[in-house]
Amino acid sequence: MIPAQFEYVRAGSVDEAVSALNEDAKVLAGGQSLIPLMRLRLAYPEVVVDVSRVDEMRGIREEGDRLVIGAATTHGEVLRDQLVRTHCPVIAEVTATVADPAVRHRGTFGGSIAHADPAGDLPALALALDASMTVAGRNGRREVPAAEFFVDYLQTAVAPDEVLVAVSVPKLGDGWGHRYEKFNRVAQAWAMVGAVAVVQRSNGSIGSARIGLVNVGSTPVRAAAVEAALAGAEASPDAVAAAAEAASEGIAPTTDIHASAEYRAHLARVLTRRAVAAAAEV
Amino acid sequence: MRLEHEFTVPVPVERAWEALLDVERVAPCMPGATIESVEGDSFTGKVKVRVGPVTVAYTGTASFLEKDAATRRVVVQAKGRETRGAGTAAATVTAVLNQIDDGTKVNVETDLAITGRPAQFGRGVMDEVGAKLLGQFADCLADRLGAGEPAPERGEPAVTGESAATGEPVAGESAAGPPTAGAPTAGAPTAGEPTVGEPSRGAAASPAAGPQERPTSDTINLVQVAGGSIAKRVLPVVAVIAGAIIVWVVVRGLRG
Repeated sequence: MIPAQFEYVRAGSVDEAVSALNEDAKVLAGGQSLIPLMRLRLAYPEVVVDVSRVDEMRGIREEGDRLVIGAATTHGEVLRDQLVRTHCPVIAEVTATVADPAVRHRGTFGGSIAHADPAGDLPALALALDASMTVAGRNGRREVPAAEFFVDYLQTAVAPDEVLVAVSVPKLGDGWGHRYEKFNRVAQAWAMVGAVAVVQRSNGSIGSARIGLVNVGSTPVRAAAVEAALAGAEASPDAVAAAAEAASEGIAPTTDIHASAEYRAHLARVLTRRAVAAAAEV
Repeated sequence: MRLEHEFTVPVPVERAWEALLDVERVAPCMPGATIESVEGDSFTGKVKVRVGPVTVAYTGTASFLEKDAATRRVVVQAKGRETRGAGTAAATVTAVLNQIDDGTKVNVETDLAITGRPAQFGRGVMDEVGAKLLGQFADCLADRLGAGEPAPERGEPAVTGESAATGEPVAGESAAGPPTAGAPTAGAPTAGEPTVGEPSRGAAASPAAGPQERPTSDTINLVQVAGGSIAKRVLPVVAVIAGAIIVWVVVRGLRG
């Protein structure tokens, strides 16, 4: 289908983007979610503000012990980035599973997070990493922690007249392991359920674990009960398996043609166990 | 597809039944609904729901199949067509009121058939949005029933003027019945109308918050429904619920 008529604004800077935004505007980055929605006429913004050529919003840089990823950096760029691969390789692992190569070529890191589909891979990752989002509006910029960013289904703390500029994540040093377990039937499909685990190992025990769950609620979910059970636990298959049983606590999966809520809860437990075990190398 | 929703209001069943027929009181509680006309046994209205980037608007017609005061049961058949698209939806909605210890339980059962719109989401939301919409509806209703009168204005004052401006009279209906006809509270709904914008302020932000920010197209033409008979009045209420459920289904239908 052909989208409804809209005005197109190509922003050259974050300020230009912000000044073009309003209640009936949408930010366009890679367009892998917005354009299909517009073509289906499920979304009909009056103004589309293209930020894909805003230099400030592209690329990845170091800032002390953090990596700052421009929101309009494509998945492909993130995947191949040396800083990402060195300091936070879990981002590359997760990004490699996003949809298909064509989508990864156009789609952006920040776009995926701002779209906030709880079945998306990156929102759960951002949550697990305690990422910090830089959001720009008319009154300047603010930092929103991932824990407060995902408000509801497809809704974030970003107001209609604001734009997500960058996402900052902590560098994970030595001793951190990671694994993303994504369960889907075909490679480019959404995760039926996914679990991303980042685990710090120290002398045969687990120092700390951060676990994000995909597609088990209206937002991405932290498996807080599992994290608590793992903190200081012995790094053994049994301990991990016991802790992972708590993965279905506090989640609200739905039933659809792909899977029942019960099956999704089961997947959450199994995938969490696998992801943590692999990340902790037990 | 079959859907079930349930909510309770803290008043006896007689009062809840009566209140549910009182469209001036009830209709503003339903987020995103506009009633356009009531003609005999059928009713035309719109429901618009905004979830993140998605806006789904349906124009629908509902006809009244059954209204049984003895069993507190109403059945409405609704058909909706996308305002901006080719999708369609049809629903049969049955609402039953039951007395429980501390109030009235309302069960809404919906049978749905949807066409159009392929998937572009990893996760569908009909249950979530549906539960939230109904939750808001029930909260607002409970508020109003508890207070005995339309709740005081809680919405953004700015929308008051807008809502008044959108109360376009529809030929025939409002001409015969001026605002006062059969509606001693004609003024009250207008004052209460901004609550369409924020039926439950206490609740966390929800998808339903989207459409409520746009009261312009979501307000209800109280002038014309105020003059209607009881039969006419019950219809919009249930049809509005039906319409909302249609939207939820559409949104859910998107699930890959």
